[in-house]
Amino acid sequence: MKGLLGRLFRRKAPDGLSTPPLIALAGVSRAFDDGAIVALESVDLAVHAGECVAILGPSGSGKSSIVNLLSGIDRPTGGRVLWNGRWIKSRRAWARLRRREIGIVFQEFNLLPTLTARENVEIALMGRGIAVAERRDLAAAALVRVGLGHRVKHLPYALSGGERQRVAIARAIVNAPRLLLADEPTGNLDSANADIVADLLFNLQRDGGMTLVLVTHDDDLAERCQRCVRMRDGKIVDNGHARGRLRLVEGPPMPSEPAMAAIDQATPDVADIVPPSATAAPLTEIAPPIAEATAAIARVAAAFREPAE
Amino acid sequence: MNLTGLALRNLRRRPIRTALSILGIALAVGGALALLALSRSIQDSTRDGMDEIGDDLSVTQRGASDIFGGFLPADTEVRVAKVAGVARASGEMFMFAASEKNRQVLTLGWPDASYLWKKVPLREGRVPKAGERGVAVVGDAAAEALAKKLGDKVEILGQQFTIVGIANYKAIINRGTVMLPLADLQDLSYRPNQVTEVHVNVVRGAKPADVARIRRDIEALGGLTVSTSSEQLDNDRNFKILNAVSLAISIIALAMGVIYVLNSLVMATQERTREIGIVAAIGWSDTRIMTSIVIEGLMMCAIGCAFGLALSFLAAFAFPLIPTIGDMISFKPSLRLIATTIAAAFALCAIGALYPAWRAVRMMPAEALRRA
Repeated sequence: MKGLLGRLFRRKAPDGLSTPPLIALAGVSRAFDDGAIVALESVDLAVHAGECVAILGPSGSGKSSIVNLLSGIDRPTGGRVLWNGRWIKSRRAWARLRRREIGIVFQEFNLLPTLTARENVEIALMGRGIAVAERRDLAAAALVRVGLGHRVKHLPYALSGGERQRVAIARAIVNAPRLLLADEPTGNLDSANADIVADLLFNLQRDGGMTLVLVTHDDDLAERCQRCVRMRDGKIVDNGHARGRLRLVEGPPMPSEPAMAAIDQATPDVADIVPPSATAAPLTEIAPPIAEATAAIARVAAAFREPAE
Repeated sequence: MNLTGLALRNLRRRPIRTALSILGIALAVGGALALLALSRSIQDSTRDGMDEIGDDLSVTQRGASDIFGGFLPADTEVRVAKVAGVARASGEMFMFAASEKNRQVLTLGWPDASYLWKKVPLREGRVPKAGERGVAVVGDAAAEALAKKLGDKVEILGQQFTIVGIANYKAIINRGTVMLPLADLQDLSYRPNQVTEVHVNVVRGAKPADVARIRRDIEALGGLTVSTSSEQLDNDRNFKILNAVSLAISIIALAMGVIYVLNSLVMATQERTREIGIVAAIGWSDTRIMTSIVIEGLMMCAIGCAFGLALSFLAAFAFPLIPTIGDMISFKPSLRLIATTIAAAFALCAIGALYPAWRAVRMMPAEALRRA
């Protein structure tokens, strides 16, 4: 475990600085019913400050479990969750992080039904030693930021789905968190509202310099993130550098469908090339296996191109 | 928005359940307060009555378990009066005796020459003359309850007595008494030459050391116990039983109130599992979540206590209307008793609220969000 942590957290961040990831899962597992159901199995994931990461996968693949563990609202049955390189263990420490550093947006909005929009945002500021009047102002400002300045006194039942989700986003960002976790934020919305909410999240991430981890099964939404982590059956099957690897293949045009099928058969699986301990490695460190795979792809692609020419 | 406002908002969400819980607490607090105040007020009324009659000390049979249970030879009065430092002494027989309208009245018997007759605050009429029999002085409350006036006949233990005087005592227990010549009451109770106790006044200006010496000298006469009115009542078996029963019932009543709070909050927290998960997910600490739930419990308790207090004062007006006890007690819940009862209610409610609060935070937020 120590070696694994060392490899994971001494790597360079996307900005080239040698800093630990903002948040990371190291060999994390999550099982339910005494191990009968395995939601996550030895997952390694590092998310650096400022990144925008999408987590994609079918239902039951463990996407939401990852968000739960990244936010500390759930506890892993194995492995470690690290914030800035520090292993966070206690409930109190996680609560403190969620109060100051982590904002969460849920698919089901999760607003308190008896509180107005502003009060729903305001409760995220409670326990931080902020005066009541200031809390009220900050909450109102957050609502203005998500375009709901005119709905501050409305109860959730009087808001549309999109507006509710925007209140939830305001609640998540009111503490100016460094990490914003969004679990299927558009899952319960119609397409128009989904676009509004998605734009809002990406704008907040871009303008506020926040780190965004977005769980979705919408490929289009995931495409808007810098990095896309794919999950299946509780494991990360693509750590998000696949698009980067494909971009290394320069020159020839994309092969046809039959060619792609042949490439699939001829080349090893990504998981076989990149060892699990290096799932979040920058390209420089996993270059040799990638170069090997690239060469294989190029060979097969060339073979298909030649007869065509 | 603060924790109190949030708690109030949660209580208002389920108004009927909240109201019923508050009513339960109100009945518990009101019942406990009424019971405790009732037992205390009976004791206090008795003490007030004894003090009004003017005792410094009371002499009773050694080992008597209660104030009605001991008997002394009538000549004890003379022997006690001879003790140095005793200014005057008077024998007294007393008992609850059957009277008219199915009432039991506290009946006192005093010797003809007793100084106690001279201290009767007469509203009208007179006290019995030396050697006069078949006459009575009644307290004004007793006269009113029995619908008697001066010159009427009053029945005591089946015998008729002519009312020659109506007394106007201040103590409620004295206002309900009937005073007879000692010889009459001795005959009626088949206890000739006996008294229940001897009242003693010590000489004026006696110091505590003198009083202690007088007590020792009287007890040295043999078979006697000397006590102040407070000591006498505190050691009285009947009052001990009354106080113990009142306390026990009060504790049960308060416990029932706590169960109302507990039940209400357990249901509320179960219903709000998801909401508790939400506030935990946005960073509320366990302590803050627990505090918000305990505040809900304490708010119900505070409102319940206010209603309970009002109920107990309503009882204060109602008790004197109860025929069998109304002329024996004055219901006066003391500030100390109110404070103690309310403090106990708050402490118990806080404990009752802690359990659902602890239940609410023991699960992980994700689990709480999943369960709902």
